[in-house]
This record gives sequence, structure tokens and C-alpha cells, in this order.
Amino acid sequence: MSQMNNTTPPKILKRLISLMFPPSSMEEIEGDLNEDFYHNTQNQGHFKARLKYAFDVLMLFRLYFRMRSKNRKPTAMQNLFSFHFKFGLRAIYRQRLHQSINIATLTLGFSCFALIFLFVYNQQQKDNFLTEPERIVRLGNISENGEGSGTVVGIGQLLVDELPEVEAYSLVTSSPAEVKVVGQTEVFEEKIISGLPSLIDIFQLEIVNGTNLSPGLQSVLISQKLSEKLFSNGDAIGKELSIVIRGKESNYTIAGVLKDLPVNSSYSINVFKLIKIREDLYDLNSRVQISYPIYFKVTANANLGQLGEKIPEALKAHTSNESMLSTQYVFRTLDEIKSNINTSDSFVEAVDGQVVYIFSIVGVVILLLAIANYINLSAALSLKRMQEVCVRKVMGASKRTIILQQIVESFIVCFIALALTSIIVWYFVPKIENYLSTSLQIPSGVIWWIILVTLLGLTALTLFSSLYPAILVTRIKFSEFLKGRVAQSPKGKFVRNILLVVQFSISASLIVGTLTFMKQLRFIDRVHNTEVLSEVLIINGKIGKSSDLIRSELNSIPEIEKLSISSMVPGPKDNSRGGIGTNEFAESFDFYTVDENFVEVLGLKIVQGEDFYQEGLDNETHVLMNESMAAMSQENPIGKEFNMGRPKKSKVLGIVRDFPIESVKEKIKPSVYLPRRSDGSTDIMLNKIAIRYKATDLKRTIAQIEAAWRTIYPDQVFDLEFMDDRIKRTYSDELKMGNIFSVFTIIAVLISCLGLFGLITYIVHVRMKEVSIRKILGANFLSLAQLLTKKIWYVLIVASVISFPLAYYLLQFWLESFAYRTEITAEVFMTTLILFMTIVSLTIFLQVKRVTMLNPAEVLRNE
Amino acid sequence: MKKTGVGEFEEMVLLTICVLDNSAYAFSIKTEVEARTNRKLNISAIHTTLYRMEDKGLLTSEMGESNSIRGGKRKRMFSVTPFGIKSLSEIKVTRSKLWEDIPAMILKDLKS
Repeated sequence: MSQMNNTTPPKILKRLISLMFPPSSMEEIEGDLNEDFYHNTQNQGHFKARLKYAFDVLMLFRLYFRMRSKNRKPTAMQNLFSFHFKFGLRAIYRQRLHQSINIATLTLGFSCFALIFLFVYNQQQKDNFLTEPERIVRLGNISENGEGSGTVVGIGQLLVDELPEVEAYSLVTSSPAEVKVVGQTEVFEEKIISGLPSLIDIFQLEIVNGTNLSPGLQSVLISQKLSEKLFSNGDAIGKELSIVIRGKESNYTIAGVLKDLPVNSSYSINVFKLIKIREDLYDLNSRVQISYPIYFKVTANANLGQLGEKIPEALKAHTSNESMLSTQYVFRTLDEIKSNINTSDSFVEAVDGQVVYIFSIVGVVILLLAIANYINLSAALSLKRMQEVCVRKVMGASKRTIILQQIVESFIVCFIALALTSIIVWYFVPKIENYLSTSLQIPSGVIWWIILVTLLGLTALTLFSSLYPAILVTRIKFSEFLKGRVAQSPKGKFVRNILLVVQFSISASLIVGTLTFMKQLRFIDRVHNTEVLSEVLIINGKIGKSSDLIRSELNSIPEIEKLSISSMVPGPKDNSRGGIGTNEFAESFDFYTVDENFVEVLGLKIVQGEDFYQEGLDNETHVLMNESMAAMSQENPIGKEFNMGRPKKSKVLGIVRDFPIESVKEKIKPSVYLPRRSDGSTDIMLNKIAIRYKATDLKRTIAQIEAAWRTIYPDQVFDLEFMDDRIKRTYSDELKMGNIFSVFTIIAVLISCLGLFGLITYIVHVRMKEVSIRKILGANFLSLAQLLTKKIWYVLIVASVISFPLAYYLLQFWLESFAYRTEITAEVFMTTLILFMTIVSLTIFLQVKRVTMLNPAEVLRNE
Repeated sequence: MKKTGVGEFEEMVLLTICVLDNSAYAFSIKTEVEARTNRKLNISAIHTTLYRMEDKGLLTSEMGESNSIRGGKRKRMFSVTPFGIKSLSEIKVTRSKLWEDIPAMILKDLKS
């Protein structure tokens, strides 16, 4: 073998030579090289000979072009890529206006698609660091009101004991809190996750330092990130943290440090503490049941469907609670939890699956729009170059040559668009990441695939978009062209109109979408009654025992009309509390501590019964409930007494009209409003002050409020916001999506308008002479505009007929993600039509105006 | 008229081909030039020169026989065209004319 190696030159270089030269001249060169190699091996050794051989092969590149040109058959229209490239560049330069429209629309389309692709891809890739994501499941229950994420806490341990497939369980809940190191002053706002120690195992978390929590100890786990933030100088284990949750301060020892989760994780955990629930509440036969989201770890191949069905049977032996036994239980996988925003809990962050779905559709649609537009315009453009094509044909160009020319041109345009797209994407990705606060990255392992697919896509697009115009052009007979029949020939008009219909349909659907979106936002405003709430300020803080003090202090400010201190005001989730369930009501409900001004200050309405009244109010028993709660009791609940988990039975005083506390995406929860107890035992719950003010001198009023707050709570931050801002904050995701959607709509409309602009320019150009003659004969602007654009109106109407039902269906689908939603009315479609027509006529007007302003003599002289 | 433009290296190769008579192909030319001028050459340099001179019309070529060292590949045998001979002799005439016109004084060092 070594003998062989010594006498034959490297194989790979041999192959290179055979690639480089035609066989006829390869023979002698290879022979000479072999001989030289042999002699060199003899004289200078193997290594040097190989080196020289390689050098020679490299140097022989010089001969490459000579060999090529010697072996080429020259033709009248040379088939060279470089020639086509040059002609292509020239042609593009000659039609710079139209080609820049092409490039612009393609770039817009590509960019939108790329950005949406990044978004959707990253959503798909969430939690991909988990090795066994299918083993994380949550127990949910299905009732008439839909699916709920919480389950009675006692069930957890029961299932672990009874079902072999269930390995561990943990409750989970989260609450906003203020965290600081004992002995230091700097306070951090953090989300505290509470659960059982098994949570670490269920969610496949890793403790890098220290140990897991153990029952009975006042300890917490913190993340590496927080550990670095709190203790810049290293070890956190054993240090004490002071954590304030809803006004209650307690000290915890740090037991361990958790490894940080990757950014694409759908759950985050910075501080983890044990959940505190009274022992007796775990008893399934207890009079009061509370529910929390419960996560389980199941065996790898567990059949979740069957597992869910086994639960009622397992329960039967342990409880006689009717509502618990009649509930239908389902296990939900992590994937399902993440994509269903209706049953989200406060731990695993859910992204609206429908939003992702709608975005994917919009992305594809915009890409299609851009492509349709491009094909259309380039077909029109190539018809304009008929003369050139015919001359080429006469000179002997084959059909293939002409098609190739089209392909090369189209490739250049697409390539420029792609290059611009990469610049745009590169520029916008960080901004959008910032705006949506999600990552839009692609792991380096996949990036080559994506580049490959992009290039393949580019090739496909090039072929696809150039074939139609190319075929259109090659079909034309030269004689026909000379007879002047081509310009008016119906060739290609059908396809062009179809493409135009597609474009218009897409744009119209998107406009309908945007309008419906805005309508839904207005509807949300109405549901929340934001108008009434525009003159309400909210202070957020631990009111606690000093509530009477701050009340009298604030009441002394003349601009303040009325104020209410309560444990809740509508807005984003910041006061999560597990619901309470009793056997008198089918479902669990929330309860809030309020005062007698609550209903009035927040602009609520008592639909039945009476409001709280100060005199003679029995703090211990009187309650208000909302309509949803009232609907759960069989008879009119007014004046009736119920067990509401309080020492005494509660008497229902009145029914408050339903109002959404969080987002209207979720159904309004049954709620009970308890008055603040006069003995102050419920004061710990109070954390909001709602202030209705007179807007005379707002700045001064706020300053006065702040002064009052500062004197009573010197150690607390002054956290004031307007009620309507607070509600807007609840919908920040929707508002963001709405903004993004509007941007896409604008882009889509822009693309179609640019396309339309190009097309009309083309139509006008073709009929320039006709227009000029008509003008001389006395046609006015309107009749000319009508003549040139009549067809476009038909196209517009056909597009509306196609797009409206489609848009209606898709939007209905989106609206279903809201528990309370607006209707899509004819008004929306009419507005769309009018809006669209205005935009189209404006586009047409600009072009036609330009032509009719021209001196007809100039045009006609050009004969 | 276009100048012949035969370079120094080309001239050497041309002359070598004449010397080798019927056995001139790239490798034999290389060894011959190396032997006579005492300098190392690359076979690719010979190839480029040969093909260039063929394009200029100084050389013609035909395929010859083969041997085992060449791996069965045939040689391309080169011979100088009459135009090549003419170019060579023109160069020689120019040079000898120049030699003749050099004053004897300058050459006296060379003789001794």
C-alpha cells in the first residue's frame, strides 16, 4: 500500500484536473504531471513531490479559460450566464421605477415573512431544553363554565398513592412580593413561586448549590440570577431574606440556589418557597375546600386519557363530596398548557396558540401577496419589452435563451430583495425582541438549514415567477407584433386579473381584520366601563392597620370626591388567591374585602338588593355577590344565608352587575364582596385605594395625595396610577399584537398599492397614444380615468366577494379566544370597502393625472 | 503589424524544442531546460508557455505515444512552426547585430 502511495499522485487532485479540463486536453497534461511526479519522487522524496504536484495543479488554473474557450461552440445568441447577467442588469436599470417597486414589495414581503417565521419558530421551540416534557402534566377539571386549571388540593397526594403512573405532585401558585436581604435596604420586586419541594423534580430543575426545601423550615430557594443580584460577593446559602407578600413580612433562610432556566423557558422561578395551607384543608372531606393548580410527574408512557378517567373511581373511596365526584378530570400536558391561554395558571406562561396560528397565516399570506404582485408586474413589464424579444428571436435566439434571460433577470431582482431583507431583519430583530420581550433567535445548529432552505426557496421563486412572463413572451409571434396586435392582445390578462384578485382579497381581509381588532378593543373598553373610570386613581400598597388614618387624611383633600379601600381593583393579576369552594355552590369562587364606597367609586351597579350602608352594617355577616355568583344558586339569593368559609353564615345583601376583574378573555369569576370588619382583623388584606377625584388641578391633587401617603407610610413606595392605564396594562399583549397586526396590514396594503401603481403605470403607458388622441378630441380627466381603470373596479368587487366570508370565518376563530366579544357586523365590511376604494382611487388618480397632464403632441410626435 | 513578442523564457523553450527535435513534450522540455540553465522549473509553467506559444502560432503539436510512468496517458509532441523558426532567427539577427556594433573597448574585459 505504501508503495502505491509513493508512486501515485493524490487522488483528489487528479479529480480536480479532470473537472478543470475537457478530456481532450486533460490526457496530455495528466500524463506530463504523472511523469514529473514520478521523477520528483525519485529525486526529492514523496512529500516534496506531492507538494509540487499540488502547486502545479493550482497553477494550471491559468489554462482553464483557454481550454474552455477552445472547446466552446459559438452561437448567434451566446448561452452564457455572464451575458444574461449583463443584459439582465441593463434591463433592470432601464426599468428602474418598476423594478424598484418590485424589489421594494418583495423586500417587504420577505421581511414580514422572515420576522413572523422567527416568532413562530421560537414559540415552537419553547422548552426544548426539557428532556422529558411529556412527563409534566397538570390536572384540570371540565365543568359547564369551561375548563379550570385549579383542583382541590387534597387530590394531589391521593393520586400519587392510588395511581402507579403518577410519581409526584406539587401545588403551585405565585404572588408578587418585595424581597430584600435582612439588614440591607435595597428592595427587589420579585414573583414568588410557592409549592411543594417535589416541584423541583417535576419541572426538572437543578439545584446547583445547597439542598431542596424541607417541610417545617422557613427556607427558600433562589435562582443564580437573583443570587448574583442580591449577594454580589458569592455565597448565598444560609443567608436570610425578608419577603413581603401582601403586606405580610416574614424572614426566610436560603437553602439552595437553582440553576437559571434558559430564556426560551415558558416558566420562570426566581424565589421558591413552600406553600402554606392549613393541614385540615388537605382533607377531602373537610367542609371547606380550596383549589390550586396541581402539577404531576407521570411515568414516561402514561396514557393521560385513561389516567384521567380513573380519578373519580379513586376518589370514591375517600370522599363523599358530590361536586368533587361529579367533576370530569383531565390531565393536560405542558404543550397544551402553554398554548391555551384560557386555562393558564400563574406559573407556566401561556401564549395564545391562536395568535401564533393567525400570525403564521398572516406571514404566509403576505409572502404570497408579494409574490403574486411580483409575478404580475414582471409579466406586464416583459410585455413592454416585446420589441427586444422579437429582435432577439429574429437574430436566432431560441425559446430557451429567452426564458433563461427572464430567469436570470428575475434572479437578480429576487436576490437584491433577499439581501435587503437580511439587512432589515438584522436591524429589526433586536427591536422586536425588546418590544415583545421574547427571544427571536435561531440556534446555530439550524441556521445552515435555514440558509439552505432560503436559497432553495429563492431558486423556486425565481423559476416560478419568471416562467409565467417568459412563456407569455415567447408565445408571441413576431409577425403579430409587427402588425401591432400585441399591446391589445388578451394574452395574460386573465392570469393578471386573477393575481390582482388574490392581492386585493388578501389586503381586504387584513383591513377587515384590523378593523375588527379595533372594534374588539373598543368593546373591551365598554365592558370595563373605562369612561366612568377615567377619573379614578389607584394607589397600590400595604394599607393594613392604618386604613382609617389614610382615609381621613385623604378625605381632607378637597378635590377628592370619594375613596374606597379594598383588597382588589380591576387590572392585571397582582392579587392571586386560590379560590374557595363550599358544598353550597357548584364552583369555587373568589372573595374580596371592600368597603361601603367600593361600588360607587368604581362605577359599579347594584342590579338587585342594596349596597353596603355604613349605619347598622353587620360586618360579620353581610356580603355582596356578583351576577355570576348569583347564577350559581338555584333561587334568588338576596337575603339568604350561605356558608362562605367564615365563622358565621353570610347574608347576601345585594347583587352587583358582573364586571371583569382581569382580562375579558376569561369568564368573569363568581365573586363575593365582604365588608371590612370593624375589629380590623381583615385589614391585612387591604392593598388598594381607589380615589375618585375632580379634575381641577390634577398635579396639585396628586402632590397632596403623595404627601398624605408619605406621612402615613414613610417606608413604602408611592405607587399611583390611573385606572384606565391600569386596565390597558391588562391588555398589553393584545395591544401589542394589535399594533403588530396593524403594521402588517399597512405593509400588505402598501404592497398591493405599489403593485397596483406599477400595473396602472404599465396600462397607461401601453395606451398612451390612445389617451393622447382622446384628449385631443376633447376627453376630460374623469372619462379618461374611467376608461383606464374600469376593470380594476370589477376586480375589487370580485376580491371583496371572495375575501369577506374568509375574513369573517378567520376572525370569528380569533374572537373565540375572548369570553366576551364583539360582533363582526356589515359595518366593518362597508368601512373596509370604502377605505380600500379610497386608497385604490388615490393610487389610480396619481398615475392617471400624470398622463393626462402630458402634452398629447409630445406623445404623438414620437412616431 | 503586431510584434512577435517572444519573451526570454519562451525563446529558451522554443530553442529547446528545436534541440530536442522530435521528442519535445512538456516533461522532456522541462528536464532539458533545467539541465542546461541550472534552474528549477514547474511543469505548469512549461504548460502555460507551450499553450500560449501554440496560440501565437509559434508551435504546432500532435499526440504522441505513451508509457507506463505516464499512467497510459499520451504525450503531446510539440514542434516549431516555420513562423517560429522565423521569429527565432529574427531575434538572433537582432542580437548579433547588436553584438557586432558594440565597441571593442567594452568587450576587452570579456575576452580576458
